[in-house]
Amino acid sequence: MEVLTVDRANLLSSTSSSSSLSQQEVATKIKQTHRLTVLLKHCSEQLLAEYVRHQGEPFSSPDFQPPAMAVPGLPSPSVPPEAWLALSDGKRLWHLAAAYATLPGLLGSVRRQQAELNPLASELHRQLEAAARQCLGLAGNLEGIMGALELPGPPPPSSSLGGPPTSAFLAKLTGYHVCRLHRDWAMRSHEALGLLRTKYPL
Amino acid sequence: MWDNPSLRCLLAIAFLHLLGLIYSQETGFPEAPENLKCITHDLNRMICSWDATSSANLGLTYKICYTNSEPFSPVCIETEGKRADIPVTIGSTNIQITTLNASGTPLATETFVLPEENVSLIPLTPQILNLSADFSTYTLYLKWNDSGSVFQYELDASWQIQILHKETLETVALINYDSKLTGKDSILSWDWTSDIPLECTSYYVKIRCYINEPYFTGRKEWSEWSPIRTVPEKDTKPNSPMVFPQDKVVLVGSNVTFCCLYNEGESIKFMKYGSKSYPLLRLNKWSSAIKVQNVSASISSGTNVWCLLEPDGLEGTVLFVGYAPDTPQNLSCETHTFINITCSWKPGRATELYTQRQTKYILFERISKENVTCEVDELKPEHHCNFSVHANQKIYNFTLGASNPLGQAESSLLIDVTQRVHLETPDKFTVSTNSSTNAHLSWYIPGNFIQIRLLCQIEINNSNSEQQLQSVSMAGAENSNYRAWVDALHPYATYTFRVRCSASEHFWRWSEWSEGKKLTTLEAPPARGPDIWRERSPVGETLTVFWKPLLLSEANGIILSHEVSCYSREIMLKAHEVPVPLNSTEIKLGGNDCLISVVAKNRAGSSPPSRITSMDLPSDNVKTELAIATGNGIYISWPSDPNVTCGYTLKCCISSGSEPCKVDWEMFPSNATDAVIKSALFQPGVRYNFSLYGCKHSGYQLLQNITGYMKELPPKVAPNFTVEETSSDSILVKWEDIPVEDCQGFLKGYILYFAKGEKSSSKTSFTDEENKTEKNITDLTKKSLRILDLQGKTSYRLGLRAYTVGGIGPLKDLYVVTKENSVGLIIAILIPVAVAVVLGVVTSILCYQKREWIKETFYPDIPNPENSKALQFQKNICEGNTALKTLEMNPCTPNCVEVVETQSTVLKIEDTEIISPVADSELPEDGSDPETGSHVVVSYCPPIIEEEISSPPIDEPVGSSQVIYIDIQSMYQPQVNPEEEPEINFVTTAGYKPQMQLPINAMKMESHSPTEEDLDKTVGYRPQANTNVWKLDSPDSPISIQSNNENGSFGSPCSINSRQFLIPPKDYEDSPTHNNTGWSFTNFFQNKPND
Repeated sequence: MEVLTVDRANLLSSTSSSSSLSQQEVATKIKQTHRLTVLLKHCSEQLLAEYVRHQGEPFSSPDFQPPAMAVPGLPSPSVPPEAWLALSDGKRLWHLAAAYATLPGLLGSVRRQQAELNPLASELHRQLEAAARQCLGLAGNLEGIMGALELPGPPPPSSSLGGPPTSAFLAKLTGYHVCRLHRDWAMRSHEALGLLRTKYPL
Repeated sequence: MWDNPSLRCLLAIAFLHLLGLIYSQETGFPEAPENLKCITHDLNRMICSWDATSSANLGLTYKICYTNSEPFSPVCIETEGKRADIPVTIGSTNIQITTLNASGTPLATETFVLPEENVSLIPLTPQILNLSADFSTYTLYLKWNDSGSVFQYELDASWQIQILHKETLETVALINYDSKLTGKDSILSWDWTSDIPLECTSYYVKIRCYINEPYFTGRKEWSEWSPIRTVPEKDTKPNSPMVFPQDKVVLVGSNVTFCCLYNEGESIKFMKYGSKSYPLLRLNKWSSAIKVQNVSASISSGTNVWCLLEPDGLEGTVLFVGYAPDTPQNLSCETHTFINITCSWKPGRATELYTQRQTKYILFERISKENVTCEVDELKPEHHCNFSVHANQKIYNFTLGASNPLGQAESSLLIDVTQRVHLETPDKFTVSTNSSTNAHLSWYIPGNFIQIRLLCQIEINNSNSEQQLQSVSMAGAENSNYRAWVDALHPYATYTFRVRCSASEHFWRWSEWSEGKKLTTLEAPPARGPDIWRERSPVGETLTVFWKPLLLSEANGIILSHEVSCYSREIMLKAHEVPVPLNSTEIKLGGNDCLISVVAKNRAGSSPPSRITSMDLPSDNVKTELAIATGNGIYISWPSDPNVTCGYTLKCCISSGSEPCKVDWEMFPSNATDAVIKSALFQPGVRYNFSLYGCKHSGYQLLQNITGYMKELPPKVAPNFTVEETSSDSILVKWEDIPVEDCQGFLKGYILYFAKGEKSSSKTSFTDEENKTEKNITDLTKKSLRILDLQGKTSYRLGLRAYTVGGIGPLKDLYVVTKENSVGLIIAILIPVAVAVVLGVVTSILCYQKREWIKETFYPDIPNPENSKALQFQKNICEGNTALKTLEMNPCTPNCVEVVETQSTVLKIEDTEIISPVADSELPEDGSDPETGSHVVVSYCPPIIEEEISSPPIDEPVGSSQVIYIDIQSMYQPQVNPEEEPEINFVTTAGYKPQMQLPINAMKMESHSPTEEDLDKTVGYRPQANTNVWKLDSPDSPISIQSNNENGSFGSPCSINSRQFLIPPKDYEDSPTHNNTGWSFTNFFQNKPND
């Protein structure tokens, strides 16, 4: 598996001097970010599978489809796929940036809840931590690209699930939705960066 | 008496009273009171009520007058209502109720007598003061006032509490509760636990009371039910769907009821515990439940219980199922540093509950009354908890409590901390030395051990893996370095040191070993001089000095060189240094002997010198002795020599493989007379030679040579041997020595095997031979052996093996055939010939002398029938006499004698004495023409014979029955036509058969393909010789021309009854058949069965 490390400090510093970035540098950044979304897409599917494996029935059931649930702070990728692709690059990036500004905090909350519920599931803990890091990295990359393209940034995130869940079942369900939204956003980001890459070839 | 007004009044009252008792007095007025009823709540006052019609007149009032007993005057009260509060009296109460109109005019009066039995005791209706619920435990708590102050004394009270649920107010439980009223108001409380969560539906409670006053004879009744109370805050449907109970922890095996609450407009599709669906129990219109029996332990995140709602909803809860904590096991407390006491234990059975539900441990010390909450890792098999050591406290009484939501357990331990010292692993361990035998050690142990002494153990391992332990006791200190030193180390040796410590006085446990540290001691001069030997060259001009390298433990360092010096009268003549690894050097003596000195040197110095003289003493008559193999060494002994004053030296030169031999030697004290020599170079079956020198005052003298084996083996090869000479009864065998290298031991002898046997025999070993003979030859100087008493012309197999103490070597064998015995052969030929000649001569002489008598008797010119034995013979036959009488001449009167001529052109010879030799001998092998044999027709009297032969087959030519007398000298037997042969059945008859009868039978036998067995049956008498012998044609025999089956030998001497030759023809003798080389005349005479 390819491991990508993202230096958030560098990304931020590059953002500050975004106007000076050449087209080539922007294309390189988009390419790197696209490769990160490939990894994220793969890892998010693994994470969802690992998550449900530890929650028991009905989460581990293959045909488990709970009703949609709003996760506080996390926008749902509710735009239909066609409409999503029809959006402007700026809009798409804005949506992605808004989602990935929130996801690291949410994944961190899920990690803490799972430490309480599944103290023995060390692999799940590791994947949740890795997912939070990857989302953080992608958020930085998106921020850098948007800065380079001089696009407006997203609103400041609310980065956690708030207070502790009222029940263990609700914690499991919330965690499930976070992991599933994480997977959905990974797919959306992969599509969006793929499109962007075609527009900014190296 | 009646004039007394008071008496009259009293009588009037009594009368009225009686009326009141008997009647419910009715005056007939409609306003008259009736149906008086009285109840009491407190046994003090009672409330009486009555019925009265008051429709016509408004403003009616009632005057009630009551008296408790006769002596008291009545008490009257007025009331507007139809009830009155009057005191309760013991016994009965007279009550007069008068109805008054608005103007106060009595309208009607009614008097009642109320006995106590008609009064009802009904307690006041109880009031629920408080009703609360603990939803986590499904428990309702109820509080109420018992109103005990109503009664002035103690009373037993009973309470009935009714629990109702659902909207339909179904009774869940009806519980009785007894209490005692104490004359004061008391708050009573009671709780009740539901088996389903209280959130699942609405619960209602009401209560009533019953007073049990034993002295009250009236009716005692339950009070009214209290006003119904609802469980607070849950009397309405929930705001959002939920499943209860939430995150509950239960014991494995429990029965749990779950309910799912949902909103209006929703319905429940199904409800599952884990993956299993359960039947729904409808509690109300917004709640359904499932009941799960005997739940099993859940996974760490708990078991999900969830309900799926329609149209779109999922609600759930998690049930954590586990065990109460086990009693902490193997609780043990010790101190490492005297700062903390560390207690450790094993948690026992896993609770299957984790994180906030996991077992919590609290360590409580009873003496100091301090407790510590222990942070443990549930996943580890052993838990630890630290408790601070208190100054001036030695004894600690610990109780370890374990608790989780399902229960608790505890273990206790009492310790004296000074007896539970388990020191930390010694740290900063260093080893140093500045000598060849000593080492200094230092280490650090954290902790305050001022109040105890320490015992430390130092482990010393040398390079040979030998281990040594030294213990050292020292005073304890606070966070200090500890030092020790070890001596008696070996110079220039590498050691590995480790150390561990414990409390000295009250041993509890050793600490862990410190890390190992290596140290090599300094070098020291070699401990002794090397073992030396010398050998003079054959000429004696040079002397080669040998020395053995010192052992590592003796060298005390690295040997750099050896210094070899030559002294003569304490004056060093020569000296030179030989570097390692050489272990020998040559010294030119120049005709002078000297004292050789060898010194080993290393960096630290020189060894003491080893000395040896170069002088050799002459030795005469040195013998070579044999040593004894012990299996792993060579045992050598020698006679003690009193002249040997400075020991013996045993020298040998052992070669290994292709390398030249290496001089080795061993020294023994002067009093030694034997030794077992061992060497890794010794090999079994290899001969080693030793020379034993005696060290005498003036030099070394060779005393004897010794040869021996470490272990003797069987000879590797068989001795080469040959047959030098053979005769008819003996073989001379000669062999050679086996080469020494093939002997593999001292040869003890040879074993010679011999047995009859052909070369083609499949037998490969003499052990298989049944008749083998073996000879053990122990005289090793003997190199040949003659084997006697053998049979001539016989094949023998010979084998020879050599043997040593180690066993018998391989076998070598050969075959030899003994020669024929010629003397026996000659004797075997000569004796029969001589006997035959002598018999012939004697017979001839007798025949010649008695020729006249013979002629008269047997062949008269004119036979005399009376003297004719032939006739006698015939008569015997005719009479059937089978006695062994031949030619017995019995009187026989012939009836007639007729002489007729035969029709045959050839004279037919009729001879009653002639029989076919074939009849008694072997039949012709080819079986050809058996009927060509002679047909003897005895036509001479007697009639019996004629009868026998007069019945031939019809088709047979007529046989003659005439007797023809012929001259025996000229007779010959003509050929007889087979067709003329009469068919006579073969008769098996034992015993002697007259020869004239035999031909008939014999012919018949031949025609029936006779077998030998038949012949045996037929013939009791045997001819004198084998028929084969007589089969040979005699040129003199006329029969031989016609037939091979009958052999006549008329020219030869023959027996009276036989015409066979007594002496076989010469040409037969000359052609013996040699079919078997094993047969010989020698065999014939020896007559051995195996011949």
